[in-house]
Order: sequence, then structure tokens, then C-alpha cells
Amino acid sequence: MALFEVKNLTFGYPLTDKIINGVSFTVEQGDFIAVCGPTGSGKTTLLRLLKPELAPLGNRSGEVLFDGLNAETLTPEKSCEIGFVGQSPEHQIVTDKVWHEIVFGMENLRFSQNLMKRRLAEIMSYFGIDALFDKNTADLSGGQKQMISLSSVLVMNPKIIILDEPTSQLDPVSASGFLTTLKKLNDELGLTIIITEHRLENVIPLCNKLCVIENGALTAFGETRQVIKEIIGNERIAASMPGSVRLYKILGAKGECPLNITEGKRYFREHFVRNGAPFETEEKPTGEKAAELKNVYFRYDKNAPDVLHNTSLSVYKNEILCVLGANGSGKTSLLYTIAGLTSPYAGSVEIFGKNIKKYKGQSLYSNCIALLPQDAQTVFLHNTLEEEFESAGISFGDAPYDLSYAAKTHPYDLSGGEQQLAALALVLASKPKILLLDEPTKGLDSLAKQRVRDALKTLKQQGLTVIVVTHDVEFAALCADRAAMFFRGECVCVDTPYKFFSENIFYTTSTAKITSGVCENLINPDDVRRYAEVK
Amino acid sequence: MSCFEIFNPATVFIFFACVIVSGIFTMNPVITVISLAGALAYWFVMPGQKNNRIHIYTVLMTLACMVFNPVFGHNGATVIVVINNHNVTVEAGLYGIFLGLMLSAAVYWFASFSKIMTSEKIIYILGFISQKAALVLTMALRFIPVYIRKAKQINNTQKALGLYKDETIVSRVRGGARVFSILLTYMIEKTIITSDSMAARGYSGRRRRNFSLYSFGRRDVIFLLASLVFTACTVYASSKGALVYNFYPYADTPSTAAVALAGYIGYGLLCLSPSVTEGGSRLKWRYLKSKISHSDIRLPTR
Repeated sequence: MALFEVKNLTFGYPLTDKIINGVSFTVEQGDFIAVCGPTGSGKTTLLRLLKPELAPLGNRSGEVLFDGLNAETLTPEKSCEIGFVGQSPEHQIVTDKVWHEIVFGMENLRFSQNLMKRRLAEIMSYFGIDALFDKNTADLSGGQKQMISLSSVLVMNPKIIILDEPTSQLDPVSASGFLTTLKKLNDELGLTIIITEHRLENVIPLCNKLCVIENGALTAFGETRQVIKEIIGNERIAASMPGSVRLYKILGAKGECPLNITEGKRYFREHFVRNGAPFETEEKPTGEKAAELKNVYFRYDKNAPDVLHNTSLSVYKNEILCVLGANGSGKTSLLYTIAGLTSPYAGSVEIFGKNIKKYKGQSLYSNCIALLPQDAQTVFLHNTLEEEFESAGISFGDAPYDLSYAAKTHPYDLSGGEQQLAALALVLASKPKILLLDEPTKGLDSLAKQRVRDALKTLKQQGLTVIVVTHDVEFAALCADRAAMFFRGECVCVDTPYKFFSENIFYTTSTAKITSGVCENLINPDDVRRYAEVK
Repeated sequence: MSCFEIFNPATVFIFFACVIVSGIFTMNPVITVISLAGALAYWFVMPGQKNNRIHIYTVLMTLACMVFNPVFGHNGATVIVVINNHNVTVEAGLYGIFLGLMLSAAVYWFASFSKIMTSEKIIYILGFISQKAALVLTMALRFIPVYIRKAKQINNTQKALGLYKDETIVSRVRGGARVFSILLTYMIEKTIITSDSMAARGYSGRRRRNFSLYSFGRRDVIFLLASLVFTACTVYASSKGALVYNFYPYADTPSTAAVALAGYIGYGLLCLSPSVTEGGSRLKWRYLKSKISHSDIRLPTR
């Protein structure tokens, strides 16, 4: 018997059009289903309709059967067999201690003391997180928090786990660790999993079924390779697919679709023929320096280790510099140091040839430097975007992109990508010459990333210098003039993107990984399109 | 690690309640001295990092009570000096010292109490009284650090946006208000996520079963019974009026009747029990350690 049977499900909020329109599918025991589709297509709503406590209120028709029972009238005990993990690591944790968070659900279901103790021991040993037992949840990293949230659901012995973009707020390393854990649960325990993800790069190789949703309707559902064949002609969906699938499309979409890097490499070797002129050499930017760091040292506390350690970096006028590196490598501290929000204990920072300490009062922040922090929501002050723009003294026409359609919307109700762009427009109100961005693509889908990219390129044309701190190598490869790698508070290398990404082995784009050894200097799918002759 | 770690938090809580409440309500100088002696003894025996500035506070507090009580209270028969038509008396001074010592004893007991009772233990105790209150407390402890961090982030953003126009107080207050307003919106927004996460894990306001890390064992029974018996002695003596002590008009000599002695001894044993338990467990450790170092440990061979 199928675990979930969704029959002709239609849903709309009282005042809006239908968000979900006649969706039918079945979920079998042991499935690992990835749900994909553009932002606003109704993925989250669909997932929430499967979990009774989270189902939104509105006009609903059709049927959802869980284990043969109507999902709208499950008992609390039965409903806990449907586990749910959301995207915010910070806010789905309820209690202050790790052990308490994990038993929280069992306390609600009134498990016996012995059973709670046993499950707590089991799950912490299974995941090897017993060292976290007594820790405060506030002290954990994002990846650890998501693991705790997952554990706290698993201890209730669910038959299925529904995850709504669980890794969108995590760095790539924690994200792939988390997804690998899901695969392990699927393989070892036969746990059924439904997941939505922007980072399809990591999920597609793991899942056995793919569900594509557009405008609230089911475009395709079924075995992964089969579905990819069906949607490969759909530009919008195909753009969000992993590198191997996009190369497959560029090379003519013949034969079996490669789903991971290994398969991609084989496919590329067989189908790629180089055609075209030799690559133009990239010019290293020269000229006037916008910002220069000389042997900068910084630490948060006298007894803490250095966060920036002998950092030297020159940023030239009118370039886009992308700074890459692992968590805790000092990327964000670098940004805050250039922005004058933290002061180094040794070394010097010069902005346009003038020491940063000589910028008195607010002069650094008017017509000079602007910082867009990681959490764009910290920028918003008002109830609508219109008020927001008004109080910043700008109009919708000033931004290099159009947001006027959302003028009356509360900034918090915008999608992640729109929030990022709105915040960027507000930050630009001070007419800065240097723009600093911290993880501008975090949690964004491919379309939103493209909008951010286009915005940055327009700003560059207008004469701005842009420094982007990011984990997103694909993004950096597409928009950087130079890329820098940070490690242990030091800038290890700075290079033009083609040199940087084709010389890197581990820390590079999936296109570069697939094409290396066959043809050098291909780092984006577009490069392949330009230089490939389809066999 | 304190020997109190092995007791159930409820045992610890009841013990401290007995000591502090009966110490304060008997209003008897002998009891106060015993209480202070017991509290000090435990303070020194208790393992772990201690803030020794506490002694300065208690001494200052006692001195302040000794000085200020005669200034404001004019009862008592033995007049030292008359200032502005007000008598400054020996008895008022004695009462001040007594008050200071009593407060000092309470301060020491509370300091030990708060070192032993970590937040999880308080939440455990609170769970007996009100499950909802216990849950609210743990959630508050969870979200305070989160919001403090967020406030700092917002402040940094606002600064880099150039919203602090100048360094005047007005500008800073405005900035603070802005940060608070953003933080409030943020909190309201994020609370929805938290409540969804609770609902998704079966929280519905029904009665829950609190998970407990603690067991209630033989040790707890013995310690608790002893504490209650000792307290009963004091309460009995107090109910018979044997512990009544008057400072005015003349300070009494403390009663030495058999009932009163029973009260003193009971309270004395109560106050000493934590130090004795702690000391006992240390001796035991020393003994066990010597055995470990002398024994010949061999790994099993295959």
C-alpha cells in the first residue's frame, strides 16, 4: 500500500488564486523524492498540506491519504509518523539544551521515561552527536542545529520525513553532510523522504524520484532520469539542474542522462568535441586601488585566536572580487574590517588611498562604503517596500532592476531573492563607491541568483567596486573579475576566474570538475556551449 | 563536582528551603550564628570556581546594618549617646548586627544554591509546579542569546547604512529605537516558525510528560528524611516558644532549656549536613584513588 496518496489536491488561500491545482501522486514506502520548481510555484504549500498541523487554512478540495487514513483527521500520535523539518536552523529549535530539544516531541506524546531515555541514547549514538548532549542549543553551528532538529523528529519513529529546504541556510560542507545523512537513513532504515531543495546539485544524485511543480501544477513525477528527460526542454527548470544535467542538455541530450560528476565526466569525454578559437586571455585588473589591506591582524578577544592573520589584499577600482573559503576562514571578518565595523589590532586598511582611521564620523558611510549583511531582513524598517524606499530617499526607478510590482508588500513577505534585491537597493541609497556583500545568494534559487548577478554587473558598469563574500562557487565563476580564496584568516590566492577555477581541483565549479582532463578552461556551462561542437 | 550533583534536584531544593526558611523565621541569634557557620563551612568545602568577592559584600552589609539600625531605630534601654533628641542604644546596634548576620547567612546559602542548581535543574523543579512555566523558562533561555546576537547584527547593519548621522545622544537613542523596532518585527515573524515546529512535533497544549535526567534513589531518601527530622526539631522548639528572643528593651540571654537545645542541635545538624556529606565523599575518593594507584591493572590478553 502506498504511504501517501494525493488525489486531485487543490488549494487556495481565501483571497488568492489557486496555489495548488489538481495535484495527484503517490509516495511509496522507501522513496527518496526531490521536489523542485521555481520559487513561488507552491512547493512549500504542497508539503505543508501533507502534514495536518502545518496545513494552511483555505479552500481545499481533493484528498490526501496517509497510510490509508484521511490526513486531515489524524490523531496526534499518528500525525507524528509524518516528520517535518523546516529551513530555519535558528527558529525551529524550541528549548535551551540539546537533550531537551531531542526529547521535546516525545514529551508531547507522553512516552514513558525509559523509552525517552533509550531513544535519546540511540539517536545520539547513531549520529555520533553524544558530545553535544549538555550543550546549549544557542552555541551550535547551523549544521549541528539542523542535525538536532532532524534527530528530534526521528526519535518519534516517523514513517516519512518531509523536509522543506533544510540546507538553504547552511554552508556547502554542512549541507552535503546533512544530505548524506538523509541518504544513510533512507538506505539503512528504509525511511521515506520528501525534500525540496534549491541545491539540486547535491540532491539529484541521491533521490530515486523527482517531482517537478510549476504554478501549482504537477509538471512531471516519476523516476529521476525519466523526469529529467521529460523536462530537459523546459529552460527554467533545466537551469536549476546540476552541472552534469546541464552539460547533458548542451551536448544534445542523447542517451542516458548523467546524474553525478563521475557519470558526467564519462558522458563529457564521449560527447564533447572542441570547436572554436583559443580562449582569450583574461586581463588582470590594474590601476587605482579602491581598498588595500596590508598585513592586517584581527581577533575578537585578547585570548581568542586570530581571525585575520597577516591578511594582505588589494581591491582595484571597478572590479567584482569574489572571496571564497570555508566557514570561519575570516571572510566575513574581512568584510567587516573593510567596512570599518571592526578594527584590526595590527596592520593598515586604506580606502581610496586614505587610512580608514582618518575617515571621521559618518564620512565612511556616505558616498563611500556600503555593506549588505548576510541577513537582508536586518535592513528593513517599515511596513511596505514603498515606505522603505521613500524613507531612504530613493525611487523604484533608481534601482538597476524592477521591484515596483511589490511596492505595497511587507518586506518580510517578499521571496528570499526579492528581499536581497530590495535590501541592495536600500543599501545603494547612500551612493557608495564600494559595495560589500555577504553571501548574497544564500537560500536563493537559480533565477534569483541570476537577478543578483545581473544587478552586480550593472552596478559595475556604473563604476562601483564590488566585494562579494560567498560559498557559491558557481555564482563566483559567473560574475567575478577576480576570485580570492581565504584560509585561516589569510588570503591564499587571488586570480582571474578562469585561472582560479581551472587550476583548483576540489574547490571549483561542477563544470570545471566534469571537464577537467578533457578540455581545460571550461568553468561554466556557457563556456561549454561556446566551444562545443555537438557530435 | 559537588556531591550535591548526585542528589535529585528536588532533594537539594527542599534542603535549601528548610535551611533558609527556618533560619530566617526563627529570629534567634543562636540559630543565625549556626546558619552562618554552616553556610560558610559549605561555601569553603564546595568544589569549583567561587567568587570570593562575596565576603566583601557580606561584611559591608553587616557593618551597614549595625550602623544604620541604631540611627533609624530608637528602641532599647542602654543609651550610648543622644543625637537630636534621638537615643542611640546598644540593643539597636545588637539587633543591627543580628540582622546583618542573618542576611549574610542567607546570601551564602543562596550563592551555593545557585551554583548547584543549574538552569536545567530549576526547570525540572518548576515542572512539578507548572509544566507551562517550565517550558516558557526553557524557551526564554533559548531565545535570549539568539535575540542579543540579532540585535548586534541589526546595529552593525544600521551603522554601515549610515543611519547614525552623527555621534550625538539623540541620534544614538533614535538608532536604539530603530534596532528595537526591527528586532520586534523579527521576533514576531520568527515566533511563527517556532510554533509550527512545536505543532509538528505533537505539541498541542495537552498535558506533557516531562523527561527527567534525574532519578530519586536511596541516597535521596536518606538525606531528605534526615533534613526533615532536623528541621522538625527546630520547628518543634520554635512552636513551644523556646526560640523566642527579645532585643528590646534589654537583650535576652538565649534560652538553654532542653527544648531550645534540641532546636539548636537539630538546626546545627541540618546546616552541617552538606559539608559533612561533601567531606565524606572526598575522603571516600581519596581512599578509592589510593586503591586504584596500588592495584595492578592488567588488560585481558587474548
